[in-house]
Amino acid sequence: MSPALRIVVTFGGVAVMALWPPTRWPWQAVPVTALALFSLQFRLPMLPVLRRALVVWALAGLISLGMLVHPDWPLRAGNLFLKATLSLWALNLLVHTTPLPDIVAGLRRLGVPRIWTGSLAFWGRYYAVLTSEWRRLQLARRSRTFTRSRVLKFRGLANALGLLFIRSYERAEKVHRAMLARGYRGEP
Amino acid sequence: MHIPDGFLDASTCAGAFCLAGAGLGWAGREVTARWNDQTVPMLGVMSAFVFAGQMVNFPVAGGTSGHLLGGVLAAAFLGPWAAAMVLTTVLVVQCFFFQDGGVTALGANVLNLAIIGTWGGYGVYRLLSRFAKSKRGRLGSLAVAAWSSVVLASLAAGAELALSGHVSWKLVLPAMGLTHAVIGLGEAFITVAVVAFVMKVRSDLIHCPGVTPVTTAPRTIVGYGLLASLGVVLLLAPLASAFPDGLEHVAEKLGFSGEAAEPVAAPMPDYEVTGVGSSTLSTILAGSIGTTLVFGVGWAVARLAQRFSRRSRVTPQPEIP
Repeated sequence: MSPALRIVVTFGGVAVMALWPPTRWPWQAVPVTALALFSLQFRLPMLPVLRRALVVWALAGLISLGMLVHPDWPLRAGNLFLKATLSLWALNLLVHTTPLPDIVAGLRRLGVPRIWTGSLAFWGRYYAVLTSEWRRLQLARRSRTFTRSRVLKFRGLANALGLLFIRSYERAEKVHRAMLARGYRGEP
Repeated sequence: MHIPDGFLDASTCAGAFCLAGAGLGWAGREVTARWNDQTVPMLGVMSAFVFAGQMVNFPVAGGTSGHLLGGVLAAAFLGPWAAAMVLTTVLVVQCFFFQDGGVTALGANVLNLAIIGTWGGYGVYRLLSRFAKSKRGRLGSLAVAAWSSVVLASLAAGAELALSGHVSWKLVLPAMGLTHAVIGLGEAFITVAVVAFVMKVRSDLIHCPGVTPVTTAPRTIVGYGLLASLGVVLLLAPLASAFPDGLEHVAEKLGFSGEAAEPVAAPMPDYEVTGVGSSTLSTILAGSIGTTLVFGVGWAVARLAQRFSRRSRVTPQPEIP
C-alpha cells in the first residue's frame, strides 16, 4: 500500500470512527477488528500503545467526571475512552509501518503545501541532532556546576535552553547556506 | 496534554480546522515574505528546537517539574507568524508520532495552542511593552504574556469541550482557567529566563516587529476571510439560542405577536434550511449561506461605489490575476 493511500485510509478511518454517533457504538467492532488484524500482520508491539493509552485514559477519566450530570453518562464516557484508544492505536500502526520520509512523500502526493512537508522533513532530520546537543549541554552543565541553590540550577537550565536556541538558529542559517551552495533556489 | 479524538463533536472540529487553516494560511504568507528561500530550513530547525525545549523538565516548587509550551518564547525570537507555524509543526509531529492529541482534534489543538495561545500571548506582550519600554519592563511584559498564553489556550480548549456539549461552561472554564493559571507561572519564569539570556548574548536574534512588505491579492484576503467566517459559524452553532429575541418576547407577553404578517416567500425562515434533518446542521447551513450572501452584497455595493467614485476614475485599479 502506498504511503499516501495508507495516510488517507488511516485519517479517514479515524475521522469516521471519532465522529461516529455515540448511540451506534456496536459498529465500532469494525475498526477494532481491522486494527487487530493489521496489528497482527505488521507485528505491532502493543506495549507502547498501552503506555500511551494510559495517559489518554487519565484525561478521559477527568472529563468523564465533568460529564456526570448527563443521564446517558455511561454511554458518553464509554465512547470517550473507546474512541481515544482506537485513534491512538490506528496512528501507532501507521507510524510503525511507515517511516517518516515515506509519510512526507505521501503527504506531498496528497497535495500538502511544500512549506509544511518541508518543515516536517527538517524536523525529522534535526530533532535527533538537537536533542543530543541538549544532552551534551546538560552533561557539560552538570560536570561544571556544583550548586545546591534551586534558583541557580533553574537559571543554568534556562541559560542552556537559550544557548540551544542560538545554536539551532545558527545551524538553520548554516544549513540554508549549504543548500544554496548545492544549488537550492527556493521551491519551484 | 492535547485533546484526543472523540472528545469534540463534528461541528467544533470542523470549525476549529477552518479557523486554524485561515490563521496558518495568513501566517504562511508573512513568513515566506520575510524569509524567502530560507523559510523551510528555518521553520524545520526551529520546530525541532521547540520540540526539544518542550521535553525539558524544569524543576518547579515542591518537587514537581514543569514543561514549556514555548509559544511566546518562539514569538519573542521569530515573530508571531513563524511561531504559530513552528508550534503547528510540533503539534502535528506530536499527534502523528507520539499520539499526543487526536487527528480530528488537530485543528482544535492548533487553534488553541499555536494560534490563540501564541498570538494572544504575543498581543499581550505588544500591548504591555508599549507602556514599559525599559529592558526590565519588556521582560516583565513577556512574563505576563507567557502566562496569558497558557491561560488563554486552556480556556479555548475548555470552550471547545463545552461547545461539544460534554461538560458545562460553568464547570470547565473555571477548572481549566485556575489550574492553568498556576501552570502558567512556570511558563512565565522559563520564558523570561531564556529570553534574558539570549538578550545578553545575541540580542540581534530577538525579533523586532518591523514591517515586512507583503502584497496580498484581494482574492486571498476574501478567501481567508470567508474561511474564518465559516469557522466561526461552525464553532458557535450550538450557541444559537432557540429562545425568542427581545421583540418577539415582548410581543408574546403583550399579546400582539399574532398581528405579524407572514414574510413573502422567505427561503430560510427562522434560520433553518428546510429539508435538512438535523437542526444544528440546518442552522450551520443557514448561517454559512447568510454569511456568503451578506459578503456578496457588500462586495457588490463596494464595487459599485468604486465605479462611481471620482478617485477611482482617475486611477483605474489594475486587475490582479
